[in-house]
This record gives sequence, C-alpha cells and structure tokens, in this order.
Amino acid sequence: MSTAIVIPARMESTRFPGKALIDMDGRPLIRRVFDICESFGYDTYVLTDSQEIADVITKFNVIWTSPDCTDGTDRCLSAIDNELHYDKYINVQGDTADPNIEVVKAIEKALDDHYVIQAHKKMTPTGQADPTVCKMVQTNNIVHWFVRSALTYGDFALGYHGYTPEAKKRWNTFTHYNEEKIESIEAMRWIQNNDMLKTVQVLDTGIEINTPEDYKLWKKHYNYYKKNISD
Amino acid sequence: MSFTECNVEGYRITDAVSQAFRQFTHANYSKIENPIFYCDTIEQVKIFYKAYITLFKTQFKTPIFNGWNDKALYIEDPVKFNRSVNLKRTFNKEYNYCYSIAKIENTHKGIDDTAYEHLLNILKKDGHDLGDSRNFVSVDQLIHKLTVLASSQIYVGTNCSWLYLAEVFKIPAINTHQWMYPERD
Repeated sequence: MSTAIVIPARMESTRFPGKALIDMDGRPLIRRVFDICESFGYDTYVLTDSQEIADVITKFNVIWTSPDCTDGTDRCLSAIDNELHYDKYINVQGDTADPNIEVVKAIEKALDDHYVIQAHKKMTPTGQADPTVCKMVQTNNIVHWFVRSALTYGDFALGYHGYTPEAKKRWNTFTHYNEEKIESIEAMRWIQNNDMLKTVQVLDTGIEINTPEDYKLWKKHYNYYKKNISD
Repeated sequence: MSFTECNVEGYRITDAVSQAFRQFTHANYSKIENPIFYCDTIEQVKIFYKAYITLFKTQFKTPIFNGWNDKALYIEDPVKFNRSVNLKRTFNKEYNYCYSIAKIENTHKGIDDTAYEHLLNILKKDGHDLGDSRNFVSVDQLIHKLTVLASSQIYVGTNCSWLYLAEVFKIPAINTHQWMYPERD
C-alpha cells in the first residue's frame, strides 16, 4: 500500500491573507509544513493554484489544481487518480505549523477500515465555550456534526484528514448544503449526504495558523523553545 | 508489464540515467528487494536511484551499490523498460517543449558548430534547456530536469537519456540528427 501526504494551500485566506508565505523562522509557512512532512518519509506534495506558493516548493512536488476548487478537500480529491496514483492520502492542512507524524500514522492506519478519516483531539471546556472554535460531535469515532456555537461538549477537529480513492468517487456525487457554509466546514458534506465520516483521536499540541494572533502565539512558543529547550 | 522475471541479483549500471533506470525497473519488476548494482560511479548511481524511487513505485528495501562488474546483468531493451514503469504521479504539460543539443566535439551523436548555433537560437526562444543528461551534481537537480521533461509537450534534441525517458512520460521525442555531407574536392 502506497501513501502520500498532500498539503492544499492557497493565498486567499479569509482570516489571514497570504499566510502561506509568512516567515516561520527563515522559511515560508508552506515550506516549513512541506519540509516537516517530507522528513516523515512519505512522498509529499503541495496542491495549489498559486505561482507564489509553487515558487517556494520543489517543482516535482507541486500539483497544480484548478482555481475553481471550492475548499481544501476539493483541492486534494481533484488530484487523486489524476496527477497522483497512491492507495492512501493524508491531507495535512497548509496552516498546520507543526505537523505531527503520530497523527499521520494514526490516520494511515485508520484508512485500512474506512475511506475517509478525520483526526481529532480532546477539547478543553474553555474551547467548548468559545463560539469562534469549531466543535466536532462524535461517538465511537463516527462524526455526527460540526458546530461553532458554545457547547459544554465536543472535540477539536484537527487539520488532518485521510482519503482513499473511494472517497473521491463519493465526494463528487455530493450535494452542497447551506449549513456547511454557515459553519465553514466542508467535512459536513459527508454527514449531510448520508455518508459516514470516521475519526481517530490523537494527542497533538501543534498550533494552526488561522489568524495573525495564532502567528504571534506560534512565534512566542517557538522562541521560548529555541531559547530554553533546544541545545 | 512486459519484462520477464528472473533470478538475477546483480545489475550493471553505466553513467547514463536512462540505462540506470532500465536496470532499476528490471530489478523492481523481478521483485528483488535487495538488488546489487555494479556501477561505474557509485555516487552518480545513488543520485539516479534516489530520483528513481521518487518518481516510480518500487518495492526495494536495501539496494547495494558496488564497483563495476562486467558479468552482472545488463538489460538493453528500452521499449520494454518504458512500458514497465509505474509512475507515482503524472504531469500537466505546461511547457511547449524542452530540448538538449550536444556538439559533435563532445559526442558522436552531436552536431557541428554552425548547426548547433542555428538550432540553439531557434530552440531557446520558447523552450526549456534540459542540459547534459549526465554528470548530475544532486538528486534535486536530476528530479528538476525530469520534472521539466515530464511537463513538456515535446522533447527535441540529441539521442541521449532524455530521448528514452520522454517515452516514459508519454512525450513525443524528436531526434536532431545532422547529416554530415561527404567531403568534396
């Protein structure tokens, strides 16, 4: 079984335009994510429609996707069985500043049993009460819903997903419903089309760079690490 | 797949990348997990190998690279090789053409100075020069050249490794062969 890591990336981020190229201690964010994923030993590709992003990645590892792709899932699945020919694909979002090999391996294993996998971690009560944070509602590793409203339960959906080519066949038949636009979570499409999205619980302490505040937080953590822990 | 499986363990590898890829493909098709490659230049062949496993699906575990051995197997048939590879990814054809032309002073497959200058002036207008198909300095350099080749509509140039590898990527390859006029009194 062959597995590839795919990293969808674009320049037009709503909350943090151009974040793919922000400086992460000497290299652009997307290059950092790519380098770390490649160091895991998987074939790794960046999927983009942006020349600026392509310019910072080795040419072989860039897959050009259509500007018409509506979201990251769409971007990843469009490449499956077109440019890419693997058995399993791990989608690591381009804003995952600290990719985690344990998460990648957990998804790869879970793909033995199901064609689409989400990764999640436990969410703190503070996170559950925060209306800006998306909560994932699941039982027994089957996802039931996503919602941003304040709750007293729910898990944190990470920016890691897994697919087999079967996922693409199903995705292309799905209807888009309004709720996924309201919550800005395209993964809801699996649920709303009566398909099954499975999840795997992992431990992860990485930061997703969604906003300029996340970027400041990452720099603070990174500088602390460099000063106090490394060497 | 058209290669015949065999019990060979060792392959001869020259400094030509297409010939090296042919030997790797035979070893892979024959399901040899720990093949021995006998090489002219071991460091060059390690570059070929790393590029090969980047582009193609393989089942190699621990290949061994040794010095040259005349008696090791050498697969010559490029047609069977080109039809037996299994690419991990395919490429959009974003370039009109790529090229590589050599002078006759460097290889018997090359062309003379006048033809070289004229042809180069034409080709460089809208094409990507792949350059030498030997003496790679790094894996990244070789993979980059292979990516440019794979992303081109046509290969034009000398009968070198690029020409053989063009078929792997399903690109038409046009060979620039100069007819040398017989000397006249």
